[in-house]
Amino acid sequence: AAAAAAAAAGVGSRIRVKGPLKVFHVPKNPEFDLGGQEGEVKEVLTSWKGKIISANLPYKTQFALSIDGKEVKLIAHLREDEFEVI
Amino acid sequence: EPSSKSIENMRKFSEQYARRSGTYFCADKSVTSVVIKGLAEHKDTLGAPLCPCRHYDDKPAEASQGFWNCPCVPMRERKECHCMLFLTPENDFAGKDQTISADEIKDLTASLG
Repeated sequence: AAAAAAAAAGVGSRIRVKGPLKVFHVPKNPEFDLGGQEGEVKEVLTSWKGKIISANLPYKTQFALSIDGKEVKLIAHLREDEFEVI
Repeated sequence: EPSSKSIENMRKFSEQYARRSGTYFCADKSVTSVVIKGLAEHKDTLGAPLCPCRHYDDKPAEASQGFWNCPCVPMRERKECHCMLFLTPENDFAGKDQTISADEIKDLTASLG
């Protein structure tokens, strides 16, 4: 059931990262755990101009992180088994 | 064979990116050399340094879409480089260098094809 829910995720889906997931590209935060964070799927990378591509983290997701009281927007790419649709 | 200009570009890029990301080249720098030449080859043929360590059905489409253009998304976001070009310090195969010379690349790839 969880796999089916994740597979149904598409552009616009609200998701929550099943933790932990360390990323290294948050500005001023060398190592940040996205576990438990909520985001919105912006794009699912499966093809480009009709040609199949092989991205293995296809769920391009936007997060609004709250870091030290400030909102930081972040794009991160996820696999379908790394999140649940909320 | 990739152009020397592209090899030099990718050599410099690799050194800079290793420094910037706090990663290290493989203790066996022939691994590093082969990847740098592979990146240079794709830069020449596709216009972008598509990761040379993967198989693709449509290389031009992949190079245009960009997920696998070096530094690829998994490297940028997760510091995961399956080419073993950029290794985190804890990696068993990480050496101590963040530099590699043009001569090293030439010498370490001289005996291949």
